[in-house]
Parts: sequence; C-alpha cells; structure tokens
Amino acid sequence: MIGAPTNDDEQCLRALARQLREGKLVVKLFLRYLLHAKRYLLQQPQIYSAPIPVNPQPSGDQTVVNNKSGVFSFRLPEGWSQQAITLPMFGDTVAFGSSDHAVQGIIDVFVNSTQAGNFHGVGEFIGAVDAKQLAREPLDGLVSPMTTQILANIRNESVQVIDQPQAHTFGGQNSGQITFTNLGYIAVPHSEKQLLVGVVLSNDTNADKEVMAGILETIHIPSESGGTIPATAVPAASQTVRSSDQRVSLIIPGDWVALDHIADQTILAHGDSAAAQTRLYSAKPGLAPQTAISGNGGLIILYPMSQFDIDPQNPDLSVLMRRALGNLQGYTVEQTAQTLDGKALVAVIVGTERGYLALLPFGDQIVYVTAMGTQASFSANQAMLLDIVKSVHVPAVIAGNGLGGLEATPVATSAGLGGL
Amino acid sequence: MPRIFDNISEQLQTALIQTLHTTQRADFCVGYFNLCGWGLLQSSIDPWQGGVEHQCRLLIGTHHSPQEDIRTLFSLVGKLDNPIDNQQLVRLR
Repeated sequence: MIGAPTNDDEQCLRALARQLREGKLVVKLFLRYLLHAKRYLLQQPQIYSAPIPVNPQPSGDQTVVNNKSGVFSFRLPEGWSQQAITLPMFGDTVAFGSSDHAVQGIIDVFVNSTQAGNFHGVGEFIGAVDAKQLAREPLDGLVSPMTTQILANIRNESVQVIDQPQAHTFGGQNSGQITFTNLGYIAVPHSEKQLLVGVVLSNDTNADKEVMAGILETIHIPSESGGTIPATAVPAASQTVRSSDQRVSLIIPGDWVALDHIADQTILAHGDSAAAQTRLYSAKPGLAPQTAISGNGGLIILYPMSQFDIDPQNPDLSVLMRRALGNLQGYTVEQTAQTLDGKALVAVIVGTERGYLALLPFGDQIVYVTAMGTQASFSANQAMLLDIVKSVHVPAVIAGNGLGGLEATPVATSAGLGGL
Repeated sequence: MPRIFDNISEQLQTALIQTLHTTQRADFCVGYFNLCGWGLLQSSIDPWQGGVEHQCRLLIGTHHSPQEDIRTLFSLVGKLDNPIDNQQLVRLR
C-alpha cells in the first residue's frame, strides 16, 4: 500500500481477508527467483471451439443444397455453380465454386489429379466418406488421420499448413477439425454416424478466407430439413405491444397476448394465450389465477436503477445479473450471462421452463426480461424468443408522455423467478 | 484472434472484468500485488462460491524482502531489479 490508507483501502483489505478465508482467493509467493510475469488465465465452463474467424451466415441469397441421400447439406451462395462428382473412398460428393471454372478446377485437382492452384475464384468439394471405408471405431478418432491424408492427396508441392489442425464445431453443431493452408481450408466435420470432408480452395486465400470459412460453417449433418434458412426474425405476423402508460414496448408474434400491469405494478407478461397468465402468476401471484407454466412466454419488469445504486451513465449490470440468477428458485443456469448488444446481459436458465433471462439498461431504468419456452419447445423457438428480448424498448417505441412513474417498485416474490 | 490491450482504447481491466463474469475459475500470475489493483477485480470474484474449482489462484513473483528494502533505502546507487536472464534460466533448469 502506498500513501496514507483510506477507508476504501480498509474495505478492500477486509474484503481481501474475507475472500482468502472463504477460499475464493489463494495466494502463493514465488521466491526462487524474480518472476515478473503477467498472465491472466480464466477458465470458462463451456467448451469453445477454435477462434477461427468465420462468417456463419454469409450475406446474400443462398440455396440450401441437400445431397441425394440426405446425409449432409450446405448453403450455396447465389450465382455459384455445383456439380455432383465421384471420388474413390467417398459416397455422395458435390463440387461447387464461384464459377464453372472454379468447379472445373476442383474436379481437376481431386478427380483428374492434376496440379492445384491453377484456377481463379473459390472452389470446394464436400464429400461423405464411404461408410465401408471406415474402421469400426468412433469417428472422432478418424478425424486427424483424415486431415493428414487429404493434405497428402493435394498434389501440389507448394501446399503449406498455416494454421495447424484444430478442433472446431461446424455451424455450432457438428464437431471436427479444421486446417488452414496457403491454398484454403481442409475441414473434417462429423456426426455420430457420418464423416465428411470439405476442401475449399482459392487462388487468393487471404481475401477469400471469410467466404471459405463461412461456407464450411453451413455444413449440416444430416441435411437441414426443409431446405429453408432458419428464421432469425420474428415471424411477419408480429405485433408491437405498448404498455398503457407508454413506458415500455416490445414486439411479439401476432397471436400472442400481453397482460399489461406496467402502470400500477411495473410488470407485463407476454405469451401464447394461457402462457402469459402462467408467467404472470409465477412472479405476481396476486395478478393471475394459479396455473402451471406452459407454452412460450415471459415477463417484463421495470426497476429504477437508483434502487440498486447503479450509475445510469455507466450501468454495470453484472452484479445485478448474479443477484437475479441467485434469486431463481427451481431453476439452474444453463448458460452464464453474456453481453447482448453492448450493455445488456442475457443468460439461459432452465427449470420447469427453459429460456432467456435478460437485464437491459434504458436511461435510468433496468428492464428485467424473460422469454421462455418449455423444456422441449425452447430450441425450436430460440431465435424468436431472443428477438422478443431484443425488441423490448423503454420508453415505448412511439413516444408517449412517458415521464416514468413514482409508484412503488415491486418487491421480490418468493415464487418462481423471484425478480431482482 | 489475439486482442492487444494498450490501456488507451483497449483496457485490460474492462476485458478482464467482463471475462471474470463469465467464469468461476482464474489463475493469475503477476509480478507485484497491490491492494488498489485487487480492489478493481475484487467484486467480480466475490460472487464465486470458493473452493478448489471456483476460486482465483494468484501467484506473486516479485517479492522484496524487508532486508532488501532497507538495503535499497540506504544504498547510494539505486538498485535495479534483477530480472531473470537466459543464462540463469538454463542454470535453474
């Protein structure tokens, strides 16, 4: 400590002592020699895949290409060409590229076994490894040997590995391995039953890196159903709901209902018919009849920042999020809080229902938002529920005379979510 | 992708605190430990439950013994830190 100790120093020292006693902090002193290192190693519970820069959904129209047998699908950017090819060792295989010329280039390299690197544009082939060629062992054990084999098969002495093979999760669902070379990517994703090889080459790997990685991210094993790109927006028939006092608005599907008690209780429940009521009951038993959680829906509760000593200029909601997650009864945290559009925080919780719990700062208000499905329905409605969270706005999007109210804020309830 | 913290536009503290909120376990190795530095991170560690898998382990590498401090205080020439060099590293191995 340098200088005269202050009250803050004392608080800090006491907290330090307490953290040492509680086992939250363990300090060791290294005395063998002077070690002036700075290393901050943080371990996260989730397993993140390798930080390869990817563009998961390349812009522009894309066609979902399902191969004949439905083993895999990928998305073909608009204007690209494709052609089914036959390769030894592979079952269904598709060659495609940014031009017919690029497709031919791929065929030259892999079917006709001529030199790589003589084509312009981006070309790729994706093939399902013939099941008969696979030894009877778990597929993840075959990923590395396959990468090595593909590297050896590219008949070009100038092929150089730039990023060594590393584990990667393709499109957030199929695990495997990805290697970046001076000619392009070699990807070996697999499902439980199927091993795929994707090789994407370009004459300008640096410029096309994102495009190439983006296509690899669209690989699905098995095929994406229906051939449509999953909806990321609220379905067209959505409605903007505003509270009667215009303090808050949100966008929900057209057939949902909103139970607005913002003016008197600073709470609003939304959901597909009965679901709204069940959510309202879970937070404010006085406002709705007792019902068990069902359907998709959630809550919006407004709190003034002053209630939690949060600085509106620089709202740090993380402590509050811990508190909100701590207040949960009968829920567990499935995904810890992540930032959403800057300062907001969103976590995924699971209990009798499963979904998003978010804290959003607006001016001097904090909005506590939930958007939940049931255990079974959440994954199907995930994007829609997150869009509802993102659509919440204070004051309501069309400005009213919302000066905010002075009424009492809700107290934490013992039922369900528990609020803040 | 590596992020480079220059503490001008990219602040290490901000990133560190953000990351601390998403984790329950951290291993820090630092040269010096100063209370005001810990004060910045303290509240982010507090919500952790403590114990082996949920704690922050801190290794402090640069220690000045009281004797050294006295020696430095009374020395005529300021004594420089003596960081480890390659030769010493080989010897220690």
